[in-house]
Amino acid sequence: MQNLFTLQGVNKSYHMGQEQLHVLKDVCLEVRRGEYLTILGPSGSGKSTLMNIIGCMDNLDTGSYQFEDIAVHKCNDNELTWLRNKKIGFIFQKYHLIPQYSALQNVIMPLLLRGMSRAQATREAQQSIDLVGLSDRMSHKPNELSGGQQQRVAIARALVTQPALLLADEPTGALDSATGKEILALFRRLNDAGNTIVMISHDANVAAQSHRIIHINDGWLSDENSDIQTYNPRHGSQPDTASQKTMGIC
Amino acid sequence: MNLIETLRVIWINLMQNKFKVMLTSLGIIVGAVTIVMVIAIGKGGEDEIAGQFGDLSAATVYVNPDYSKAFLGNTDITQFPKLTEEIEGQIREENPFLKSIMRVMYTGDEVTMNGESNFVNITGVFPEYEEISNLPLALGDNITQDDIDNKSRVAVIGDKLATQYFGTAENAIGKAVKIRNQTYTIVGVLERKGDAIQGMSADDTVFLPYSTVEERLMSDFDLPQMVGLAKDIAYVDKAVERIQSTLNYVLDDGSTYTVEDAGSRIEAATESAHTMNMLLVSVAVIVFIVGGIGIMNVLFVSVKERTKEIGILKALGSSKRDIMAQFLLESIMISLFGGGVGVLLSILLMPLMQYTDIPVSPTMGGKLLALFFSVFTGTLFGFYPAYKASRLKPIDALSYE
Repeated sequence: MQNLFTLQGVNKSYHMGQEQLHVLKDVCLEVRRGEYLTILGPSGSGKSTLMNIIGCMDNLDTGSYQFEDIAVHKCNDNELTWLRNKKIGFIFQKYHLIPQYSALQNVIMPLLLRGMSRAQATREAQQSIDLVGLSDRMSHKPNELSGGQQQRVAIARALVTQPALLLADEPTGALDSATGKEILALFRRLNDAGNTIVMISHDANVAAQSHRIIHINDGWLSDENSDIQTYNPRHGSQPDTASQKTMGIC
Repeated sequence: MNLIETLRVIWINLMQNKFKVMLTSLGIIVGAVTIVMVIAIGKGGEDEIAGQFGDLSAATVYVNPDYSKAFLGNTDITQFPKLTEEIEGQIREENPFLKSIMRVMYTGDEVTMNGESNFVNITGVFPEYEEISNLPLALGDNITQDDIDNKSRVAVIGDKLATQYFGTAENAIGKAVKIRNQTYTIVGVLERKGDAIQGMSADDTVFLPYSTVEERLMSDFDLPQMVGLAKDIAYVDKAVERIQSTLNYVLDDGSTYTVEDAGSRIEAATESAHTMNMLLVSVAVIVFIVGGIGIMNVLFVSVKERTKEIGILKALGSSKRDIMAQFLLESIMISLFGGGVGVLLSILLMPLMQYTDIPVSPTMGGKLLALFFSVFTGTLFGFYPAYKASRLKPIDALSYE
């Protein structure tokens, strides 16, 4: 199976005042189409930075990032914008819906940004809103929806562009556990339907839903068989094949 | 994103913040009202000048008593030298540059027409007044040389008086005008000249033969004046010079009368109106700048407030151009709204101006200019905040709290 994207030798550092913070250290990662992968790590481990780089929102310092046949590390601002719109569907911990827009307007935004007509965008949005089960809430504003419903709208927004990659940052982090489970079940279904999902989490229970877990700690990536496993109490419970595990990290 | 969808998104945002939009556009509203008013006042001033001088030829010359001289010198006004028939003859004889010149007497009195009494302007004239003052007859006959010679009790009246007292010009002909218990017969009615003239309008003046006025109505306090017409506009300066030199030797003190031409009067009046206009326009421009700074401030706050929204839009694939367009168009919409409200408000306020003595003539051009200036201000001052918004980095904007 073909890789969806490949990171190789990626380094990223930030300047915090005088200090230089080396956030990502020689990160290598391969993700194949149809995978459901969780990057698991505590806060400050560099997982958000990694997500920003995978999500084409931040540049890397050294290394390479190949997404399908595009060399992302060589892309300029406009090309990154295009990639975010066409290839990636973002799902955030705090939903990040635009508060003054209705659920429908939020969902069709990525399509409108492509220049699609409202009629066609609405048709396509309806499908993805149906998929998350919120057809009767389309005209509601985010503040009239529960947290779980807001996250479903956000998922519908991510799905509406039929992206190559669903990128979810702690998607259940702001939800109670019952609602979180529903959302995770939805992710499972989406993956079964063929969507590639990369999830970022600090919660091993959330990660347990996915096919593959990559640990990130202090900017280093390791698969679950490595020594850095302090954040995965249920380590070893993943049923996935050994070949998949070892392929992920170079 | 296409324009219609961008506008729709802006509409959603504006509707969410109606009160803020109102406050922001206040500066522009005031600016637009100011522009419309200023242009109306400027035009009003010009119209007034045009009305005052009417179709008066620039070749018209005036001989007026210099009242300031009389009062400053403590001269008794009854002792002021009067322009007599002899002086008039002298001027005419010595002045090859004049086509015609005549004495004229501006006065006023209680006038009764059709049973109604009012104080009305009365002007004593010679037959030439029709040509010199450009006052063609609409109906009837003019004052003739015979009327002058016989001191006839005939009157030519302005159009406004005719319609006011007799309904129509036709009805006025042959009717009586009573002044100081003397009855005069209306022989003619003048063409309507328009009512923009301040003070003395031919439309509400009764014209009588000069000799009649001199004999029956003139007091020692009334001073005759003179109006003439130069042969050509090129001779105006020479005509004025020559009249002054004649006055200098026929009168003890020639400077008790000033000789002026209409051209320089019109020029002076136009110039002062122009200066006034410039002053008013600069006030309007200042108002717009203040309004524009208001818009800019609110937009900066708005960009700050909506940093997260900008981050979300960028994550979803909004280009710099989209963000720029959204904020710039938002500014333009606010200012267009302000301009529109301002223009409407000015239409409502305009009738109130009649309670002041400032002449106004509202124009379409003024309203369009106000709208244009509003949008221009919105674009100018919206540009920088929009640019700032478009330059935000998506991750910084998203993590902004």
